[in-house]
Amino acid sequence: MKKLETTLVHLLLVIGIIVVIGPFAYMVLTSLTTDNYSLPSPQKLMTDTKTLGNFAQAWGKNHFQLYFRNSIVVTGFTLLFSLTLSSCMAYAFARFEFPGKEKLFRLFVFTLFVPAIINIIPQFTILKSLRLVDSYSGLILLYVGSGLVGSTFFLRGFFERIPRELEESIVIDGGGRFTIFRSIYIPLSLPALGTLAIFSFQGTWDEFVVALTVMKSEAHRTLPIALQLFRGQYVSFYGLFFAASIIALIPTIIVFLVFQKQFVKANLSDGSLKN
Amino acid sequence: MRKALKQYAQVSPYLVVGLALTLAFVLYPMAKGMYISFFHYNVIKPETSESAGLSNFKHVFTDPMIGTALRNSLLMAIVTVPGQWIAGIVLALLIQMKTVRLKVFWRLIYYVPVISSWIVVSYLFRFLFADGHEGMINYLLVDILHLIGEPIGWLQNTGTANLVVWLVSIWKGAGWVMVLYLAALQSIPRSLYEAAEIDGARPAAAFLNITLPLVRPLTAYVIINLVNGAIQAFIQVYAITQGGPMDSTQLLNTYLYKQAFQYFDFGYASAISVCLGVLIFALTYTQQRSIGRDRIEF
Amino acid sequence: MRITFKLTKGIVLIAFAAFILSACGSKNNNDASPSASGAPSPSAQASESASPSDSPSASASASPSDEPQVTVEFWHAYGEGEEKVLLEQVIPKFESVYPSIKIHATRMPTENLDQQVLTAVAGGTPPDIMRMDNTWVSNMAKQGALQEISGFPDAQAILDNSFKGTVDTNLYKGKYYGVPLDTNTRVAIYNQDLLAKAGATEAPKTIDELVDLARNIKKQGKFSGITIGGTNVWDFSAWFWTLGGQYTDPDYTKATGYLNSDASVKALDTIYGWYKEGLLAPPILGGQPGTWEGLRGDKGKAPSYMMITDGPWFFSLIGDADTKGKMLPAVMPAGPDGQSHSVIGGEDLVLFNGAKQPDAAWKFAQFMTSTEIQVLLAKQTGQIPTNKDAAQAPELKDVWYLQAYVDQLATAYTRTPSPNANKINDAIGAAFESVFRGKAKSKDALDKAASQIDGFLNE
Repeated sequence: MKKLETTLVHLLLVIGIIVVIGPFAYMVLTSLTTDNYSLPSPQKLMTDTKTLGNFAQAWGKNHFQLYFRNSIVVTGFTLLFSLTLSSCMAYAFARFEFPGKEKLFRLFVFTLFVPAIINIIPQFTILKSLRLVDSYSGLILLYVGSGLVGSTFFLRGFFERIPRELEESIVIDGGGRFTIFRSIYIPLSLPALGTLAIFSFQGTWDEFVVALTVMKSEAHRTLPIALQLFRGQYVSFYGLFFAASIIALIPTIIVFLVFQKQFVKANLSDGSLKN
Repeated sequence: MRKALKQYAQVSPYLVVGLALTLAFVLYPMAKGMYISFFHYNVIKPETSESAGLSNFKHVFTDPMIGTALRNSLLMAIVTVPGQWIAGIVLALLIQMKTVRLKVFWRLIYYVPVISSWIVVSYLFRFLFADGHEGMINYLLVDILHLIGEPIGWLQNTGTANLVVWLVSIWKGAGWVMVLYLAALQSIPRSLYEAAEIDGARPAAAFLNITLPLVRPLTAYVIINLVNGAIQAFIQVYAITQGGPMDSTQLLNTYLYKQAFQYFDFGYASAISVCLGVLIFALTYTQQRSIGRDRIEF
Repeated sequence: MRITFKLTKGIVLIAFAAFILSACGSKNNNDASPSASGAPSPSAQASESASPSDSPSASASASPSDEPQVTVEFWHAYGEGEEKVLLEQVIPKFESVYPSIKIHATRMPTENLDQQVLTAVAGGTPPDIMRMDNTWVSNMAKQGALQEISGFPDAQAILDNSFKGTVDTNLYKGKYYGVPLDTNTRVAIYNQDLLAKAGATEAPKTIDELVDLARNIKKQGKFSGITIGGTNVWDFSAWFWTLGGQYTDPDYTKATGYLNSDASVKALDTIYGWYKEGLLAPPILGGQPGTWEGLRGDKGKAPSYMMITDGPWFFSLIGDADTKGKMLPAVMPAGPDGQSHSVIGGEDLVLFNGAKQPDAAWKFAQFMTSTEIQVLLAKQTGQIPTNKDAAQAPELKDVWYLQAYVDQLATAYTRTPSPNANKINDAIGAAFESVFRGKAKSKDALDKAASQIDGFLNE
């Protein structure tokens, strides 16, 4: 009975994987074929000769390597600052009392529901008045600023789950609020921070429109722009485009593996929350 | 008064920087959008913009496309929010089971759609669901599995085109829900389940009575984010259907983008955006008090 | 104890993040603390921007001692092959003629390009000059994004020496806001094997001949004799116009009486009749295979479209090896008036309001529209000159497929030039689509579109 159940569960997971991986198989096969001005038909995918040429080409074109490095810098700093700032903000909302707190928070949540797609022009105007157009600082600032609400919202829930009684030992030792924040809230929220890190990384890594708008010189562009350049004025080179996007996927997978291990471990050994 | 000042002084080190950034890059653009919605706005020479009074808003209520776009946006939320949520929870529960091996592997595989680029995925689905025998899905259904006789023109009909858009949204989002619930499930003390098992509760009952209430704050967060995702949804329509056939799959978001950046009608685009914000604010008004306040103690 | 353990983990995590950052940031040492300084660090930018612009050519070193005094920002969305010609041949030539001007060319992705342009201009950071799709120019002019060009030296001479159809795309309220750079149109391209299969040795001269061939080849299996790429104006106009349809009066002031005239309704009905008869290939409603794949066949799949219409890039991108002797370019078959009317596309060079170097940018515009450069671009990239002298240059005969395009241009029409061109084209496309999807009768659909367009034209 137990065995049957286990097999059944695994079977379900495998079927799920076919659904999930199917499109990727299509993507990988496309990246291995050439002469694609539209996406190849199933017949072509089955019969055509496969080559790694697209990967080599993609790596060498459109300043791919430079943009790859730029993306890592931008994404890395965005990650660092948004984690820091959003945990501070979440702590403020979770553990401080001040007039207008809930109103402010509701305003924050409300902003999540308003289409943000045309915000780009006022955002750009602000960067311009700060003289940050075409700089990494400007792009990072914009990424961090526009993502804070969501991350704060996420972390606040976690912080509020942490029992206040844990703070007492710090208070007895004469520690202040920052000590409490640093030595209780942050370490106990590592799972949440890890999750947030993954989300923040991928959201930034993938972003195209804002990056292109803010970065004026070609040398400052990020990876998604290189991907778009494989789609030309009259035709798209899908083999190259997909090969490039597969390469671009690798760092995200690494980040996921690193951070998810961190948070899973932290949780499994979790005994302190219970009491 | 003095107390309030003191409280502000205490909280400000944690709040000020983040608040300033949010003001600059979220709240100010939003306020600006509201302002713009009262003008026939010229984005390049704002000083030449003519006041529009309420005419942009009147237009929102008379434009026949708004009805279609609103319907699609609502359907998007109604279908993909529960779709992603259920798929994600089921996956999390399956992977979380004691007997399942290779947890890291499953988790990674199911997460790959989440981390892949939207634009790439959208193109993939557009071609997977191409009509005739050229699309992989039709090829599978007709030529390999012989489930249907004739290939389906997926992107040629409003219903099926919307279906493809929903499918790609669920396909891409389910892993995100899964990862969050996996983390949450692991933080629930096993002792609670053991107690339930002793009481003879079935797994489904244990899920409904123990797990769900315990992860309520997470669920609130997830649902809000999924709704947010449905409202901000853009690329899947922009890249798969371009709003077609005959503009019948436009979302409010894609439609207002078109008004702003292709027709340069920023006043109208902002008015649509404001109306949508107000609508959602009204719909969620009663829920808002509890948002973020949920707190559980084990 | 527990807590300290966790804290260690936190530190490890942060240290790890810091490690990633420092490892990756090593290339940008100066930029390692972006928000600390709060301002862009010029040194890092300068050193960085040197690398890509250096790589394509030795242009920088080609002009020694003479330090560039001004830099012109030039935006374009050329494809990769065209960009190569631009960077390796055109710009070095320009910079050797004008040593004091440096052209900084930036290739923009076509995705979101309209939004990029608008944001840059709205934010006060436009380039000096841009190669812009000619259907955008009058709208950008209306928004106040572009400089009117009559004040620049020899502006009128450039316009006079360019084909009228391409010049008109720069018009807004009687003034010119750009100069034509390149033009293109669509000709019929036949798969020669399938043409033979349908029973012809050369391209059909009239629409009636084409329809006969399409019927012939349909009898022989799953073949399509006529391919129209879609119901949008870029794909559909040539057929509609050739069959006698019209969008507006010759002055582009009114659509009612033209778009919904009897001749227009008849033209649309004729094409819809082909569709019902099964003569049209799937792309008319977005079906697969795509036009190129259907015409050329694909691995594991034989060609099935006898003809498509497309621009010269079909030949320049695929290359002679797979086109010459296999794919036949020809002027589109003629309609009732004995001519065929294809659609004009192309790009203009525009100068932005707020350009920092308008005079230097204008020199570049003059250079790009000169006969020499127009011939060079035509020969190397297949872009059709807008300069009348260049179009007559004997060197163009070297490009075997170009003649059909030049001939076709003689009778080609431009899409309605208007600040509301986007809305107008969308309205026309929607009318056509509604007919092909069986949602409306031709007359009703065109009536409705005509009255909408009248409104857009009068705005």
